[in-house]
Amino acid sequence: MNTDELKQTLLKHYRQPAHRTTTPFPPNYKVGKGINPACGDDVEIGLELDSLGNLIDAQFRARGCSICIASSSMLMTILSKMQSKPLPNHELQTLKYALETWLTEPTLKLPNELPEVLLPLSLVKSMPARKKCVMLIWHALENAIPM
Amino acid sequence: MSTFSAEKVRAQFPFFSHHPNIAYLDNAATTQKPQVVIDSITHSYISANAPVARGLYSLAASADEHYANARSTLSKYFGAGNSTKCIFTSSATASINLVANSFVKSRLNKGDEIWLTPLEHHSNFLPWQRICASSGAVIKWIPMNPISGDIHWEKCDALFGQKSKFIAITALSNVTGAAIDIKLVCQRAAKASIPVLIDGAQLVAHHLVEFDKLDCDFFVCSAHKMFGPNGIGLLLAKTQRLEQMQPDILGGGMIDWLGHTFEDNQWSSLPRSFEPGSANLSGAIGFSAAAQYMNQLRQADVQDHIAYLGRHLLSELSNINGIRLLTAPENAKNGIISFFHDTVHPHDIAQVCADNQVAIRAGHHCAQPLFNRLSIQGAARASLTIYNTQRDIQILLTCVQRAIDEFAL
Repeated sequence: MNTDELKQTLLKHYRQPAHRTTTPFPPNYKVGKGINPACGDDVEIGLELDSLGNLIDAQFRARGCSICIASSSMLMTILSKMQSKPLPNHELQTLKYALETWLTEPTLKLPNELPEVLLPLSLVKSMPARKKCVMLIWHALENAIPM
Repeated sequence: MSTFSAEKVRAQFPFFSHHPNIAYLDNAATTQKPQVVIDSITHSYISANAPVARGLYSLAASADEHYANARSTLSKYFGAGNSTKCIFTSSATASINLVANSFVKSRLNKGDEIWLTPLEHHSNFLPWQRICASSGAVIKWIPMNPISGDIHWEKCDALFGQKSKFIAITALSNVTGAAIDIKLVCQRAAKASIPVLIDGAQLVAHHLVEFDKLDCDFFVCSAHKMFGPNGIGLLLAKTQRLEQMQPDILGGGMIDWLGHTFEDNQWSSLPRSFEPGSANLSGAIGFSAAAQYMNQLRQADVQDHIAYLGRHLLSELSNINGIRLLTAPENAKNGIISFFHDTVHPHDIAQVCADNQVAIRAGHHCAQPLFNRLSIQGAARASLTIYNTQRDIQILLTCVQRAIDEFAL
């Protein structure tokens, strides 16, 4: 993807985010919150798990900028592929760390361990102040489940 | 006839030689520094650097003199005569904390009230929140319209009532640009014997302050918002109030005699008892140079220039679909213009601006009490000053429109 295609993909996640809700999460959902004190943005992730810990549903609520919404949508896309299986907490922790690291590195190429859906976030590498916007939903995830 | 030229002023700021294309519109956060201020700081390190109030050698004595001269220049600039004292601090924030901890805290009892406006910056909220939490006192909000800045005087009986122990208010909002009628607040508070602190952080950027005529008890500001260096600020206070205060931060340079017990200690005389540690000599010299720089500008020209740009920007923004203004037309003259869009996040507006070398601020501007009250998450803010031009405004407007085209839902 060239820069323009990456931008259009990012904007698509912003305009049509996956699994975004505006209603409160049902009481049986595990909920985690992420707040960016610099701008007041806040996101919440809601995870429905069955009695065996299998992921049934993942949604997010957010008041945030385009990058925050797009990043949240991307995480939901990742989680949607983990449905009906126990949440791989350690793997998610590794992904979060890899994403944080990649955002601070000059290389645009996505590391092997990161899913392709995250590639448009390479645009954020030139915007140091916006990395918090990317990571907000991941902090919410960390607050929802022990990682 | 005015001889003011923003382009000429801009040429006095070396920052713009390094960043010739930038539209720097974040002046409410911090201002750029003119060459004369930079030179004064450089010169202080080259020729005057020595400890203040400590050495016996001639250079140290000279440092004492430079420090005293800077204080004297700033006292005159801020209209603070013999009955007041000028304390150097690290910032307006530090000054407010000093007053909270050294003057107000010990005077509070359960149920007492500290009054603020809903416009306060966190720096003029958190210190009061803390001492209220520890004393059982409560924060009360002055009834007002936060957009216009008009106080609802007919609802202000309690503000000047028995339980009111302190009033701490901004003179000029860093979000809405609303100017508060601080003179009237001070007059009415004085009649009720309630001490008042004025947060002048934004006011000093374009307005002359006459501390003695204002008749407040405390006035705080930072140098970096008025073309001076970072890391230095002022507390102007009535001598009578300072004499009622106990030192808060303790250390060298603020004590005459160290006693066997804490109660035996003899603090230095004012103002040094409130300036512990090594003095920020270069900061004081730079701050003083900034005041002298502002003094040679004609205030009326400065205010006319900023008012013209502010009104123009506000008028143009109001014509853009979906833009909501937090700055009232009557406050545009103060050069702080905050706005948001129905569906475009302020960060996205600020990012498009940043991509095009336009520096604005986006977020809650450390004024969450205001944003909570308005039920708004955040806003974009352009803040104007003497070196801003029509070009800066035009490129900002282009960026705002571009952000809307790109991000509006």
